[in-house]
Amino acid sequence: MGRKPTDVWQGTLALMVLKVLETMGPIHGYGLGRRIEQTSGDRLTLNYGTLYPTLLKLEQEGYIAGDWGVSESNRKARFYKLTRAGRKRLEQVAREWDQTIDIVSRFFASDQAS
Amino acid sequence: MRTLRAWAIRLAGVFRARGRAQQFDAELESHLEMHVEDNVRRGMTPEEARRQALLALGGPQGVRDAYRERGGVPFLESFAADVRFALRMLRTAPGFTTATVLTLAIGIGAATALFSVVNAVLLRPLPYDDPDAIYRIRTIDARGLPLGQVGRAHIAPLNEQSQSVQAAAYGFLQESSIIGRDGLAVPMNEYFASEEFFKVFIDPLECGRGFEAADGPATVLSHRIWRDVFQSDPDILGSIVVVDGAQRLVTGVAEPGFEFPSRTGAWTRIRIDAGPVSDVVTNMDGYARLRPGVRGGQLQAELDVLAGRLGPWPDGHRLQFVSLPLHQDVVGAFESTILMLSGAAAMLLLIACLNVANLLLTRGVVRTREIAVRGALGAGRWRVVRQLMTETFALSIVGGALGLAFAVVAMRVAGAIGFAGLPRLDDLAIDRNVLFFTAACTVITMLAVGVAPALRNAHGDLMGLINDGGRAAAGGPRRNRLFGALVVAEVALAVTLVIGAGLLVRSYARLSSVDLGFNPERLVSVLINITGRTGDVGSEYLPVARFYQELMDRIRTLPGVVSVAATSHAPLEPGLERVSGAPFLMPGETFDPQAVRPAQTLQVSPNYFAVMGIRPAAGRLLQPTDRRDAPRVVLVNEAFARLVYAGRRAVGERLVFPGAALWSRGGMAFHLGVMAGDRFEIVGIIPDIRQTTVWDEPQPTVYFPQEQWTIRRMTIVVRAQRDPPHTLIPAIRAELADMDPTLPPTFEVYSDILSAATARQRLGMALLAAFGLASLGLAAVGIYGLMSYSVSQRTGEMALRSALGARSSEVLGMIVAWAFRLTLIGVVLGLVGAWAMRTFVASQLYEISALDPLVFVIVPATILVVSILSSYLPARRAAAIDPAIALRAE
Repeated sequence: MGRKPTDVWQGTLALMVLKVLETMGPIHGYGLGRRIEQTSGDRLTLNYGTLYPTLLKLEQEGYIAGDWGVSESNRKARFYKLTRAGRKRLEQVAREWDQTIDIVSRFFASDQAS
Repeated sequence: MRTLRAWAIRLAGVFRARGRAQQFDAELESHLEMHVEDNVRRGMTPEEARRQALLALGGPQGVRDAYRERGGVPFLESFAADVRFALRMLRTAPGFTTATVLTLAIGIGAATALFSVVNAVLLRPLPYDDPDAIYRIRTIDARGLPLGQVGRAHIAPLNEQSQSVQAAAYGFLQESSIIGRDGLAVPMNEYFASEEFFKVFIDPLECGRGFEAADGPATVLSHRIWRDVFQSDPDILGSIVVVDGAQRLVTGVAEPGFEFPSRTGAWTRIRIDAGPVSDVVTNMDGYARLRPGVRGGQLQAELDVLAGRLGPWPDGHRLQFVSLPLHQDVVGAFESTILMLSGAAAMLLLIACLNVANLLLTRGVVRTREIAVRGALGAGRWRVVRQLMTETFALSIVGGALGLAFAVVAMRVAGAIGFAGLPRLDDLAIDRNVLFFTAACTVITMLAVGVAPALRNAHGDLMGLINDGGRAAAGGPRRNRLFGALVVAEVALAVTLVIGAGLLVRSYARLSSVDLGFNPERLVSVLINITGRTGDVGSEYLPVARFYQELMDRIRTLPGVVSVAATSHAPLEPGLERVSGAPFLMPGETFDPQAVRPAQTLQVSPNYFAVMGIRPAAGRLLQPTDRRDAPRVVLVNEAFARLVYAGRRAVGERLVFPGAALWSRGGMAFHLGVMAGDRFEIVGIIPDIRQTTVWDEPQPTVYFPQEQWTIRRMTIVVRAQRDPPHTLIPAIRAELADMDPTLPPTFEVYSDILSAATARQRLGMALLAAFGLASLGLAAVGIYGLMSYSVSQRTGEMALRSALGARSSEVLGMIVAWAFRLTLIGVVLGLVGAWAMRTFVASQLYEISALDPLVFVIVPATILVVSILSSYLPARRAAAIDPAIALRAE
């Protein structure tokens, strides 16, 4: 495609964090960032500087919960997991995304049809 | 909801900043290590791995900052930092801090103290249902003052046909007593009111009912009397009580707190029948409740029409009604005094603000370098302004709190001195309104005083500073002019305030030295009401007269008593309703309601005038031989003689008092012994006495011998040999109890009576004098500060002048002359201000002009002297500058 690596918006970043946590279960900040990059097919270059504030915000809002644990390489790290509220929020946001995509694609479909 | 949760956590996070930072550092460190590990595994060298990891992080410090900001509330944190810094800076300048805080405290304290008075007297609504609809109805008296009262004929038409009035009532207050279950009499106030009274005050009853048309002598008890005298007897309704010697049926009990008009214990229904004599009984209070939606103007219009219909007063002057809201009637002349004092407090606050503004500006100049450096280090202008405002905020908070404390203390002290005689001050408290006012005052002061200096001080031109060595930014003619203008404003306000204070002081001095017409020293008054005896007019005379005679004889024999007498109302005693008026005729005139003339009437014992220290102006005084069976005699005062006999000799003339018994109030017949048609000979003329107030001109008065017109309720006046006279009270009380234990006396010492008589003027004078002194002090401090600062800024210039040959006295003279010029301008402005307010101030003055020359000369002269003294010390410092040292420092 030749597209340049794009910056990630704050809001969608939060969404991606929640989704990854749902798929992967508890994970630490570095691993989370890595996973997001992988899932996007390495099209996104994550600015880790924005990741941590986002994690903090989600934690303050109660969608994720963080706690110290030990990583696979026996290192002390802070792990985050999805809370029930976070799960519900994820479902809600997913629904909204589907709706948005649906509406927007209608526009493009009608555009092609005419 | 979620956002709320987030904010709550962030707020809590403000307090745990350091802990959070440490935690995140650990997390970041672990993140980096894991990234580095990965990179190494991919084949990078450790150094390259670390570099890539850091790049990917985007700069760890930035991440930490972003994390920190989101974790707390940045605004609060920077504010807290500002406050800490401000406190530190203020500690390094204790003189400035103390001066500013004290100045603010004085201004805010004065404003708060005044507001607590305004709150208690003017703002608090009267404790009645829908009090704004209740109006007081008065008439314009013969002097042209709206202090006249009303009669039945004025009120009855309002109940019969009125568009604006829902109910109207008349009534009068009387000191009385009620017999409790134990047979002992308890003194209380009794209010005699017409049937509609409880429709004007809308049934403020706890139980029972008000008055109804079919009632005989019915009474409604106050809650306090019901509770204290009858032990809250649940069966009180329908029972008979004995009030002032007469039986009454209790029809209701009022709710707690209702004691209109003045600690009333019972309201008794009266009925005055229409008739020629009752129509001239016009010494009652009148009230009306307006219909919903009706305004006061409509009532007044109706009253004007009614006045036209009723025709003029018997003595010829036009009948005019005045209606005013009850609240205004209660507060009376006190309102204008309070408004004046409020204006003065506002001026004092303004002076304080000007002083503080000056102080802040001066301090800003001192810190120019610091601010410029901060700007160079990256602080935006707005950030610096915020920090300076925080300093002002800290000063204001402390100043405001201290001011509140000052106000509390001041009101305590004033209360201890006594508010007797002033309406509604019995309930002075620092309540919610006052606290809110203090807070608002503090905030407004902070903004008014802090914003301009903060903006002004916040610009720092670092390059300019470095080039000039700091001198150009520091002083400068424009800044000096600003300071000078502030000082001029302060002086002007101080002059106006102090002139006002001076006028009030002179007025009070004049008031205090009024010739009262009698000798009030070492005098005690004892008010007694002979109750417990019912019956008709004639048979009652003897016991009452004998009683008073025996009582006076007994008191006369007590040790420490010089002399004793009796009167129906002692001069300046509270309870003006006891001063009656009676229409009189010349012999041969027939009683014509249209042409009746009333005079003030008092009943006195024969030795009354001797005891009061009064000599007759003509003729003789009353004697013990002027008994009931002797020829009828009266004394008149000079005002009466002037009015009725202008120029002619009054002694020997006769007066007739028609049907006195007929118009004794409501058929209660407490006047005993005067027969209709009796001719009274004038046997002497008495000099005028101040009977009602200290400042009102004495009215035409007729004095009756107590034996010839006996009334139940008399005031015994006792002159003591030594001060203080109240030591006689226990002995007098014992004698009275020995004669009749059911009679409760009311004692007053004349020094207290006189004090209460001028309480309003005294309070106004004391407060205004305090404000004046404070403003003088603040202005002096302001001048001193400005001169000090100016000298310190112009050190170089002074040194140069000295070096060029100016003598030290010339330099001194220059500074003092500058201060003098500023003060002179301020004084002129202040005089103009005082002149502009002359009409307002005049209402508070007694026999002193609002442009009194003595005050208008002394005050400016004093302030000019004060300003010269204030500028002298700094000026001397300027003159003592050693040119060599000062010039070398450049």
